[in-house]
Amino acid sequence: MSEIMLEVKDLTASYGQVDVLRGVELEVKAGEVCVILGANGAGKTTTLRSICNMPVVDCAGTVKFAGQDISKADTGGIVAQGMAHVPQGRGTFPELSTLENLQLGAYVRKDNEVDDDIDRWFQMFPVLKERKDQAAGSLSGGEQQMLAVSRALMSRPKLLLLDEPSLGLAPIIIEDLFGTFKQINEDEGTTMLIVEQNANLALSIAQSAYVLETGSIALSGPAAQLRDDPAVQEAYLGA
Amino acid sequence: MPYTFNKGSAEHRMYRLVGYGLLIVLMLIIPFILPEFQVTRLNRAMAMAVAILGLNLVLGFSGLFALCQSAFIALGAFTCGSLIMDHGWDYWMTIPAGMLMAFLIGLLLGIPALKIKGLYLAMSTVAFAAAFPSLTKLEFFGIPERTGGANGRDITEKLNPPDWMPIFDATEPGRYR
Amino acid sequence: MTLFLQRIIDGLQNGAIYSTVAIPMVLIFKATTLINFAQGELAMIGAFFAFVFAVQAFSMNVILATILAMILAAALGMAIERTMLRSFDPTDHLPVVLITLGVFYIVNAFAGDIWNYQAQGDVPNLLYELPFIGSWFEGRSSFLTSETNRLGLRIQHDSVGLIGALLIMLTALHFILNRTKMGLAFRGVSSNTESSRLVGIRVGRILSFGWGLACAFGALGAILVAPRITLQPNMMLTVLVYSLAAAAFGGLDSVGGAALGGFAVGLLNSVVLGYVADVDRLSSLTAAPLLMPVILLLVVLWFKPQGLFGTKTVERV
Repeated sequence: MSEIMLEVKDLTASYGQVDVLRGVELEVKAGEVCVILGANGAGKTTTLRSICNMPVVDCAGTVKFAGQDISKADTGGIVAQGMAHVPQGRGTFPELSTLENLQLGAYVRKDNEVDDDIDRWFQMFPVLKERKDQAAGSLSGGEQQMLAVSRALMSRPKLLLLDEPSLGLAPIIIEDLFGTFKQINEDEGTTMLIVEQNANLALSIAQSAYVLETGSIALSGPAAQLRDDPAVQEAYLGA
Repeated sequence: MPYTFNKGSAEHRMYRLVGYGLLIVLMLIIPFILPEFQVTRLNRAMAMAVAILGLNLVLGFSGLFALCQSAFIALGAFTCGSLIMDHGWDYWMTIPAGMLMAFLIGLLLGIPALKIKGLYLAMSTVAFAAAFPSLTKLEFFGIPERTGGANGRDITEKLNPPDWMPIFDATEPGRYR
Repeated sequence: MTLFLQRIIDGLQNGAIYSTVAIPMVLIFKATTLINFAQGELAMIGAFFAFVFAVQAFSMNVILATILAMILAAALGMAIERTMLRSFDPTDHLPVVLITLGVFYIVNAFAGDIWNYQAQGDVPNLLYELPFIGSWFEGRSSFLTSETNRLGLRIQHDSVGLIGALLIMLTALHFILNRTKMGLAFRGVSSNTESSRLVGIRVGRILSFGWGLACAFGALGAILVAPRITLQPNMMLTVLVYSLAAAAFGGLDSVGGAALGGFAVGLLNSVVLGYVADVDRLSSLTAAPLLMPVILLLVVLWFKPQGLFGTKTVERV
């Protein structure tokens, strides 16, 4: 099934007077894991924010999600349509408990299987269950990341956006984390768009990849191809 | 249709010059063409404008939420009033004295104010400004007598313009409250 | 000793009044990280709404008038938020501070224009109209007379009613904030606005909800205290200063803290002023009671801006 889950064309974005994105184009197929690589300041976070049309960014361009044009939709509506975004720095609700964080993740849902899903993520991440009544801000970096991902998945999204999920985490945890991503992608078929700076692991679980350089796409192609590209290796894979 | 010109250019300077000139002419004419009541109101407005310039300095240029300007207006006014009534100072001499007093108190209050951040400073100064009227009743330094407590007092000296100015009308005695 | 206890009681009675303005202020701060300087005035106009419904224009049952007034006040608050404040970036404090101060003056002047600045005579007293218990509040005392119990202390019945009402309001608020979906969303917005958006919460609606809730409670509080502090446009002027101190002291994003802060400020005021009055040289300080909350405010904001129960991240101002 190669339907296009996300299509982005002519995306420009700025924060006030500062232009960050100058015409980004990308495509993510349903069910695949896609990675965006780029150095600091390339505009990776901005790209994800623009896709969600977050008010903090002034953006323009065409964004189509599962065939629907969401270029002008507001963030709440976009989330309700099945997109979830784990922002940089986890984006947990620090004063609320772990359980409440998960409940908020299901905010847009109207069915009554929410508790079942919570149990499911507790099973996958037992440490969250242990800390379910603890304030989310008191969890460790790795635990918060697990919480953030679970929170995003609580809305049963079709597309999951992840902004530098490995940032600040120990290597062992990062490996586990990406293993989990791969598993979720395989089990649920959730399409994933992962933004990463240091991207060995990301590329290993991805099917396609883009390289973002100062606001526009410099390279694109199947993940394996980019992984073997010497320029990419030098710049982003620490080879 | 909007017309633009550069900030420092000659054209700009000309506009500014003409603007100020008109302003001065207006100020000279108004006392003769408007009824006294309106002139008094305009006088008050101009006095307030001076105070607001001070507010602009701290709030606009520096971005500090010092919202207690009203307290400083009162402070300056009471200082001048007291100097005139209780110590027999000449009206014009009290102006620098009032400014000095306000400056010193402002300095005193400003140093701790630097540590308190934005919104919190707004809270503190608003509270201070609201509390200030009741401070006029404190019995230190003979304050209640100087300020007349909650009702204020009349300043019964007229403000006479210096002899070298070709103006004849004296202002009415002012009331400080 | 009796005198000290009496001072404590007086302090608590006053403290309840401050809490009723501090709590809504904290609610709005939680939702928006902004201080609503117009909180007192919005509460005051809520009390006037009730007055109009119950006495001036219609003769409704006081309870009904109160409910209508709360709804109207909530609507006013939501309208103000939507029209004047929504379009401003919440991290830029200057416009919002100026606007709330402006609203303060506008509402005050508006009320003064319509109802003039003298205290209204026929103030509806919600407590007296309550079924079953109303007569207890009314029967043995009004705020002009009082009952001395065996300990020789003077406790005013409607203060007891006020404190009781405050406790009920707090319980209701706790329920709304902690056991409803709206409340959870509200706390989410308070905790992390960006993530709230990413979860699908319509932040604008939650802000309206917060303002509406705050103004409704503020109005209820004003209606309850109006018989005590007189119903006139300037009734909340001094209360605002105490409430600012109370909210800061208790923690700007803690509802329970605001309630406790109100009582603390009331107690502090009563006890400190009581003892200062006895010291000869300082006795004139009693003429400037507002000095105490100002100093308390400065001390709290200097040393511990998050107050007693607030979260440290309140520092993000």
